[in-house]
Order: sequence, then structure tokens, then C-alpha cells
Amino acid sequence: MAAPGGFLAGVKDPWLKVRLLRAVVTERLPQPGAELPQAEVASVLEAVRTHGLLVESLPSGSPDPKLAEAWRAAVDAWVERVVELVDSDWTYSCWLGTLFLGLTVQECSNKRFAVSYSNWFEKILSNLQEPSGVQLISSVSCTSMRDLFARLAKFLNLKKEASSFAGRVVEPALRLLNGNASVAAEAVDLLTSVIMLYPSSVNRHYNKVESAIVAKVMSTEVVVKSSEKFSRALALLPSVRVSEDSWSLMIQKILIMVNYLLNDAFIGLEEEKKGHDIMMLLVPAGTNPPPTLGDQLRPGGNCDVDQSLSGSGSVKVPMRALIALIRRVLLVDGSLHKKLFPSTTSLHQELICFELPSLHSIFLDLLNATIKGMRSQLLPHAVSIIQLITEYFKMATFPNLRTKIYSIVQLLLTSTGIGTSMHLLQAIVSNAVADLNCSGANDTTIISTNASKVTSEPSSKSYSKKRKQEQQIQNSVVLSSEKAAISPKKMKGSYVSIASKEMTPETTGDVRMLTPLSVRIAALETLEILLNVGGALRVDHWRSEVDLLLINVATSACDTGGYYEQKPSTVEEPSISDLQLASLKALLASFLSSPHARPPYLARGIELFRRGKLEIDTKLAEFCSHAALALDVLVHPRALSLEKASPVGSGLNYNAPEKAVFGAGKSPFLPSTAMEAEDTYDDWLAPTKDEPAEAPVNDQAIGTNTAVTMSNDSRHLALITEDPKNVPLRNADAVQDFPASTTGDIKMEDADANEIAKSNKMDNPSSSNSVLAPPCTTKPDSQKHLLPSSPEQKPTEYVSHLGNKSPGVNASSSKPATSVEAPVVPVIAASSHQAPGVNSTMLTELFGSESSEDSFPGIVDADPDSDYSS
Amino acid sequence: MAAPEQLVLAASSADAGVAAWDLRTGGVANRYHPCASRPRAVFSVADRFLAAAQVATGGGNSGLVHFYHWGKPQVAVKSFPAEPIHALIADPEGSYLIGGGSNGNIFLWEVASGQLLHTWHGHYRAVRCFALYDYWLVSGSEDGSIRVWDLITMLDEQSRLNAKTLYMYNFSQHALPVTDVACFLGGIAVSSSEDRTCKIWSLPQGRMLRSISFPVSIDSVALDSRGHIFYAGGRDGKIYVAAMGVDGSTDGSDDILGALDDHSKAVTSLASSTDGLLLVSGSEDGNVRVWDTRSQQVIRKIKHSQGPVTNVLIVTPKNVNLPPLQPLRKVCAENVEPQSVILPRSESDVPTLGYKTCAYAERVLDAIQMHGDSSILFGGAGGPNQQGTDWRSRYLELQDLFAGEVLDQLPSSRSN
Repeated sequence: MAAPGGFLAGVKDPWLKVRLLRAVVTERLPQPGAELPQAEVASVLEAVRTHGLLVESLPSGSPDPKLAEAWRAAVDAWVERVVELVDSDWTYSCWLGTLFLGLTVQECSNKRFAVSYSNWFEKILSNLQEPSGVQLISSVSCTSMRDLFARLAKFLNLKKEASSFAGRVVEPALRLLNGNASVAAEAVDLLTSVIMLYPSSVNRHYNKVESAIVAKVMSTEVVVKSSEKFSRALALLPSVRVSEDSWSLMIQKILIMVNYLLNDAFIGLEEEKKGHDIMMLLVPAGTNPPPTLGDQLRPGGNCDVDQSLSGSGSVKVPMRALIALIRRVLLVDGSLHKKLFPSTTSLHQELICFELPSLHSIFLDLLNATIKGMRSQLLPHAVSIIQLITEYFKMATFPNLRTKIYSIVQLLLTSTGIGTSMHLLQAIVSNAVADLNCSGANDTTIISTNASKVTSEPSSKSYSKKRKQEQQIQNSVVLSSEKAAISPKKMKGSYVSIASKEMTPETTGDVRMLTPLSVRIAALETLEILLNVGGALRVDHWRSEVDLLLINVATSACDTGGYYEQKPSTVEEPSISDLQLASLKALLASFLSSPHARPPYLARGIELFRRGKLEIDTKLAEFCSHAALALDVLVHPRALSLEKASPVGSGLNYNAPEKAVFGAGKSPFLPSTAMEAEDTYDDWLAPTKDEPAEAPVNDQAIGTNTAVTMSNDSRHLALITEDPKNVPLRNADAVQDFPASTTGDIKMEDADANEIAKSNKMDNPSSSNSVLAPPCTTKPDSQKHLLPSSPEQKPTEYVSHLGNKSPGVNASSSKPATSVEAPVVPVIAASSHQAPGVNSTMLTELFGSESSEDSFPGIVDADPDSDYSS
Repeated sequence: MAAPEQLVLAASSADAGVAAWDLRTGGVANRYHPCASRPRAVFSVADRFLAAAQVATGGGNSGLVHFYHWGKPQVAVKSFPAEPIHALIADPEGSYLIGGGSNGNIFLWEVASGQLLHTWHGHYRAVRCFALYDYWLVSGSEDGSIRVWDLITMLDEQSRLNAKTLYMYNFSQHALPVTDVACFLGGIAVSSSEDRTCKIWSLPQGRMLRSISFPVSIDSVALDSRGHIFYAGGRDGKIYVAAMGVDGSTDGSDDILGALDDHSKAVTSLASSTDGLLLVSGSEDGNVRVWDTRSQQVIRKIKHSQGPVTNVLIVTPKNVNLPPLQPLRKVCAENVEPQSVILPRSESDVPTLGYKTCAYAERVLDAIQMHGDSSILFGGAGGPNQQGTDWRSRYLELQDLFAGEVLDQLPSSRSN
């Protein structure tokens, strides 16, 4: 060991601490009345904590009395100076001293603490009791006092003294709580700690504490964040009383109070009787209602129950009333109830509607906490909660509320397992599909108007059904795109489409209305959990739909997101990278829970994981290597199958199981001629080979008729080349889509087409490169040409949108090129132009259906499947 | 208290009580009296207490269920359900107790209150065995049927009315009474029957995956914790080891991998330890045997009683402060809300709190920095603080000098 005056042995040498502490005391700690800049304060705090200057713990083995003595003296000097500061009349010195005292309390040795804690307590207490205390002094005193108790709680032998101290603190803390709002946060912190550590000492102040906290919770001047703190204190309060009933009583009181509040707030917006019904649940006839909790109240800040639910002790919870209450709030949508109250004013309604999102958010939190707290006890109420969630899904339009309802669903799924997943399957799938379906379009910056649709009516049954069908359309095209890209006929389609793309109404104003990333991530996470829990459930055909959706979402997320960016850990808005991760996670769940030996999209999924793995040192790469490991078992099965191998599920041909499923007649879309497609495959591929370079000709192929023919041709090609299982669906959809085509459909088609473009980009960049290059040059031409054709179809709408539309498209076609890695830029630039191409396929198809039946004979000649469309 | 250690419990259909031995040492830990139970009628409720339905004792047609606390040998609570209970099971959290009656009725009680939440006619004949997968209840009956019930649906009146059938699935592939059923991950269930088969089911898919034939009636099954094999207790005293999976290359004739042969009479009950290394079997010969599953040798042989052993369990008793146990009610109470009692999870001693001074200091210092003038925060106080307004300017003047000095002096102080 180094000598006291000489050089140190290194940074570990305890003498360093002694010397540093001496230096700090003599040179940094100010005299009372003097000052210390903030930077200095921070550096002193930092020095003391990092080096453990006050710890006074000697290295074991070689006790050095000289060192011990020196250190003790140095700490003595520190404490002396700090106490001087606390005693000072100068506000700043006093503040500083109390702050450092708090630090000392936390850092000093056990022995020193045991000797001096009562002294320190008195010092801080006198600060607190100062009637005209400065805010900052009060707040720092509360914090230091809190730390003193936190430390004191570790000395079990001092428990008696500690609780008598705790009793003395309650009064001044309450005074602060009732007084200045800015100190209230620290005061309630102190109070909470005391309640937690020494409940008995608060017992005689119970009523006072309760009313003080309730007043704070209800007062309007408190921000929501700190109001949570108060709520937590209130929730802890029953632990002061020994009886277990006090918890139930507290919950009951709170519920009654909230119910009264809602009676006033929701007047005219709901049935009159609701409040009364809940009251009846809370207070069974014949028993006396418990004393009310407080008087002046406002709706909001009612998350109190959360904490008590997760608190300890066995608590009886009036679940029915609680759920009824939550239901009551969540189902208020701000619209007037049929029986209009005379007292309801439009102003009142406006106010309520203004508050409604935050109110809903709070009650969703409450529902979340309830599910968490109740655990298995929830079972008898599970159905009512499930119903509530299903209903609320239809109402939830705000992104944060949607995210929350998704997280509640996740919680419910994980806690109650397969039973719930069966009940909620429908709701989850339809909502998630609606939320996720537009994702492809959004990411590639083509801001399609269908997104707004999704947010505005995400769960209307018919709507999501339509979306499902389109999803399948999209799928079929995506799968076919690889081969379709080679076909010249496809090229024709793409030409026209570039132009017709311009017809799609697009408004930049819709940017805000896109399904936000946070919602899509929540939807993906929910799907992941659903697959984990109930992936094997055989109800309808949700699996094929969800699997398809997930592979498409993952593909588009990975394509559009470019490089995965590792974010700093700070909480911020989710980025596309989070979407990538969430989509890949859900994809893995889809693979692992697949009922088939080889999930249908395994190859594409593996490719995505392989690519993700390359993003070294990110969460994505971490997850992708995990996925690779997990999938390994799937790819090279080591476990034996539970079933004897049947000829159907050979596993070699991934189509087989799907086919078997569809063949079983379960699909509602299944036409009788489902499997014909395979035979026509060759027929259809053959003619296309004969006309290799027809692309330029397409410049003239502007007329509606030709356009329709071409697009339909290419479309059938698409059909044929893809996975047979989709053919029947596709055709069935086509039939349904034709009569039903509206502008909304066109918009959606647009989004889907975009999806196709991306898959092209991924699947077959090289082949599409050469063939696709020409369209770029001809694009402006065809654009112009098609403009006149549009009024035929929908004169008013299309024309009106022309103006604001073209900029959006330009952006759309250029952006994908830039967002992808450099080496492949030419390829992508070319293929990205194909997006509008496929687009028009859809659009013209709609034109055909709308304009005249004349256009169809052309198809019928060429198309064996035309029975469907005509 | 045998808190951390695992116990083997054995009960008999003759009134021999429930015996508890230490799984590792074989030493007698406790004996609970009286108890005479059918197979599958003794269950450890979340390892907090023991519930045992008693064989009907002639008088009256109501049943009898005993609760025992781990620490006390005598019956803690007696309940009298509407009919003799043949099978008992509780959910993993110990919130609900489910009983299967001699007439095929199924009873669902809330443990905390003893309330009978719901009862329904599940089978045409007596219920023999239960298994739970999440909140799906699988029940096997004398009539040979296996039914799967969704408890969430069963607990809600409206959902019950809406459902086409109360059960989710009704499996009738077993020709004779179902004797035992066990569930595994992924909703895989294995059932045994007197028809000399065991059948493997996928509950989510609602179908039978395959059937395995044995030379004798099977009275009990236990899944290996690793899930690749299961044990089937035969009426001939052999414990058959059967593969869960099927090897595609063979014709399935080697489903039965082997047999543990030491009991002289039917093996009525099996329990597998959580680590998969030990298997406990109970037989009608009155003996309990502990097997090493790797060597397939008996490592411990325990004599329980003269009467047949009907139940063996491996439990890890948890001694938590329970609210007093309530007897199970005989009938559904009208309009009584389920009580929803939150049970304490674990007793933590003194709560430890983190320190907040430093976080506080950081926050305040940041605030000062932002305001740029500490006097705003400190202002308004009397006495010497009037000078506070001057501080900021003085700071600015002195800061560089002061900080510089300190930095200069720090190294020099070393040599002092």
C-alpha cells in the first residue's frame, strides 16, 4: 500500500478516496452562504457516488488503522460541513446541504448511519416543518427524508424508532401536500414510502391522508402523470389498516365515486339506467352505502384500482360492477342517446367528446390492470370481457386506443390461453387484417387513400371481409408475379397501368390517416401471440389468410425499410425497423405453429430471416438467428410425427396439404372447377412464349378494350402460374368484385398492386430488369393517352383527382429506387416502375366491368375460365 | 415443514388414509386420515392443499370431499356435493375445483368461496377422469366418451345458450370406459381405456391423431415430462412405455417400446416427476414404486396398505397463508357474484426502496439549467436570499475561475 503522502497504488487504492474526499470538502463544498454552480453540484454528486467516497469500507485482509482514521476524519469533515449547510439561513446553502445530506444518508457506512440518523432526521424534519418553507427546500427535504426512511428500513433493530419517526413525518407531509402543488409530487413520494414501510404509523392519520390524496387526485391542477403517483398512494393506503376488508372498501368507494362522476358526465349520452344498475351491483340492496370518498371530482385519473388489484393481501373485488363500469365508459361514443336529455347541451357533448379518448385510454388501462390482477379469477367474467373487447374494437379508431386494446387482447390471450383465442379469433383476425393490409402501400410512400378507410371503419364486418378477399387477390398476384414478369402480355398490362395509375385519386391530406406503425406493430404482436396460443385451432380458414398476410407484411416491411436501424433505447415513436422486427416475429410464429409439415411460405420466410441475419449487431439479426435455430427443427425434423404419415401430407410438395384442406370443401369460395387451373397452366404459358418483345407495341394499346383484354390476359397468366389453391379463390373474388367495384375498390387495388411491385423486386429482379426497362421511357406517353379514356368510366371523380395525383405518383415511383441498396439500383429502378403497371391491371379490369360488357367477349375467347367473369 | 422437497402421496380405495413420503429419501413425511378415494379423485390444489373425494359410504346419495392442509394430519374441511365425486381436478392457480360425479354431472366450484359456479350434465355415465389444457377441460367417462369443454363458455349463461352443443368436441372412439387422460404442450392429449388402447388427440384440431393397441386394459397414463414417450399402466401389472411419435419408416408395430414389470396387480395410477427422471406408480397390490426412467429399474418400493393404491401424486407443498378453506356448496346459489378474491402471491419481507436523491438532484439541476437562472427557483424567500438575483451574474463570473481552481488544486492536493 502506498504511503499517505506518496503515490497511489492505482485507482483501487483506498487512499485515493480519502484524498479526493478531503479535496472535495476543502475545495468544492462551499461555506454556508457561498455558492456552487450547478455543474459543480453535479460533479460533486458524481464524484462521491462513483468513487464511493463516503463508504468507509476498508479493504479486507490488510486493515490499515491509519487509513481508517484518515477516512473517518474526512467523512466527519464532510458531514460537519453538510450539516452546517443545512443549518444555514441561506436558501441555496440549505438546499445544497439537504441534498448532500440525502446523498450521505444513502452512501455512508452502516455504523455511521446508525449513530447519526436521528440527528439527521431532526435536521431534515425542521426543514419540513418550516411554515414558510421555500419550495425547493421542502421538496429536497422530502426526497432526503424519503431516502432516510429507505435506508432506515434496512436496520431491522431500529424498527421501533423508525416508525415513531415516520409518525412524526406524516403531518408535515400532509401540510405540504395540501399546500403547494409543485412540492406535492415529492411529498406524496415521501408519504407513499412511509405507508409502505411503516403502515402502522400512518394508521391514526388514515382519514386525513385519504381525503388529502383524494383531493389531489380530483383537483384539476395536477397533471395526469403525477396524478398517477397520487393514485398509487391512495391504492396503497388500505395496507395501513390491518383488516383485509379495507381494500375492498376502498375499491368499492372508488367505484361508487367514479360512477357518480360518470352519471353527471354522460348525461344524455347513454341510457339513463346504466349508472343506477352499476350502483345496484356495487351496493346490494339492504346494505348501507359506504361513506363517500371525496366531493369535488372530475372524470379522469381513475387508475387507482390498478395498484390495489395487484397489491398484496387477499382482496375481494366487486368484479361485475368493475366490468360494468369499464363497459359503461368504453361504449360511450359521444353520440346522443335516443332519449335526449333536456339538460344536454352541445357544449357539454363537445366537452365530453374532447375528453373521451383520454377517458377511454384510462379505462383501458384499468381493464388491463384488472386482467393482470385477477389472473385466473377472471374466468367467470371472461365472456363479458371478450364481448366488451369485440365491441370496442369496432369503436376504437384512435391509434393509441387501438394499440391499447391490442395489448389487452395479448394479455388476455396469454393469461387464459386457447379458450380465449377461440373466442377472440374472429375479432383479432379481421381487425389485424384490416390494420395490416394497407401496410405495403404506405411504406413505399405511395400514399393510398385506402388507408384512411382502414382507420375509419376498421372492423365493420363487410368491410374486412372484402379486405380479406382482396388480400387473397393480392396474394395470388404476388405469387404469380415472378413468372408474370417474364410474360410479354404482362408487359402490355403494365404499360397501360402506368398511365391509369395516374387516375387513382390520391390526396396528400391522407398522410395523417394511415394506420400508424404503432397500431400495425400491435396488430402483428397480437397475431403472433394468437398463433402461439391457438395456432392449431381449426376454425374456418383463418390460418391460410393470416399466414399469407404475415408473409406479405414481412416482405414489404423488409423491402421498404431498407437497413434495419438499431435505435437508442429511449422510448420514442416506433419506426419501420420495429415493424420489421415485429413482422418477422409474427412470421416465425406462423411457421412454427403451422399445421403443415412445410408451411407454404417457408422458403420466402427463410430468405427474409437470412437477410435479416446480416444486419449485424441489431435486435433484428439477433432475432433472425433465433428464428433460424427455431426453424431448423421444422426443416430437419428430429422429433417423430404424432400421426402416421398419410399420402396427403407428404411434406415434399407444400401445396399438397393446402390442397387437401381446400378439397375438403371447407372453403366458402371453392368453385367446383377448382383444380382445372393446373391443366391450363401449360396452355397459357405456351402462347406467351411466342410473342417475346411486344412491349413497344403497347404504346398504342390505350383503348379501353385493349387494356382490358391485356390486363385480363396477364391476370389469368398470373392465376395459372401460382399456387393452385389460390386459383379458385381468385376467380370467385373476381366475380364478386366486378359488380361491386367502386372507387374504394380502386384505391385498394392500388395498394395491392404496389405490394406486387415489391414482391417483383424481391423475387425476380434480374429477369424483370431487362424487360422492364422500356416502360420507364414510355411512361409519360401512355399517361397522356390514358387520360381521355378515364372520363368514360367515371367522369367526375377521375378528372377531379388528376390534378393532385400526379405528384404523388412521381414520388412513389422514384422513392423505392433510392431506398434500396446501391448495387442493385438499376434493377430496382426498372422494377419499381412496374408497380403502376400491375396497378392498371386492376384498374382496367374495373373499367371493363363498369363500362360495358362489350369488353368482355375479347376475354371470353381467350380464357377458358371466363365462365366466371361473364 | 417440507417446503422445498417433493413428496410422493398415495391414497387407497380402502380407508388407509393418504400417505406422504419424501421422494428423495423415502422417509415418511406425513399421513392424512381418513381417506378412501377412487382413482383420479385425489388432487393437490395448486400445491396449497390437498383435496380428496371419498368413495361413497352407503348412507345417502351425496358425495364427500375432504380437504387437508399439508401440516395437519386430520381433515380440515368436509364438503358434501350433490352426488359422489369420482374425479377431481383443479386449475394450476388453484382458483377452481372441478368434480365429476357418479351420474355424469360435472361440478365447477370456486375454491375461495366454495361457491358452486356451475354444474352441468356432462356424460351419460360416471365421469372417470379429467385433464386441463389452459381452460379447456377434458373429461373421460364410463360410457367411453371423451368430451372437451371450454370453461369460459361454460361459465357464461348467454354463451351456453348460444352454443350448439355445450361441449366443444365429443370423441367416441373408445369402446369401453375411459380410465385416464393426460394433456401435454400444444394441446396433445393421451387417453387410456379399458378397450386396450391408448389414443392420442389434438385438442385444438379436435381430432384423434392415432390409436395404440395394448395387450391388456390400460388403467392409467402418465406423460414423460419431455413429451416423447408416455407410460401406460396395464391391468396385468406392467407399465408399458409407448412412443408418442410415430416413425414414418415403420408400420407402427413398435409403438410400445418396452415395459416396466414389477407390480403384481393392475397399475392404477402413475405420476412422472417434473425432471422426467422418476416415475411413481401405484398398484392394486398395495405398493408404490419409484422408478428410474433411464435405467428402467425400481429404485424404491414402498408398502402403502393392504388395500389397492388408487392414486399416486408427486407434489411440492407450498405453505402459504391461505384464507380459511370453505366447504364446497351443494347447489348453485342464485345471483351470487363470484367473489374474485385475489390471493397473496408471495410474502416479501421488508420492502426495499431505491434511493431518489440523485435522480431528484439531476432533475432540479436540469431545471435550473433550463431556466438559466436559479434565482427563479429560489426566489421569494426572505433574509439573505434577496441577494439571490445577483447569483447568476456572479456565477458566470466565477464559474470559470472557480472550476479552474478546483481542477488545478485537485492534483496538488494529492501530495499533501
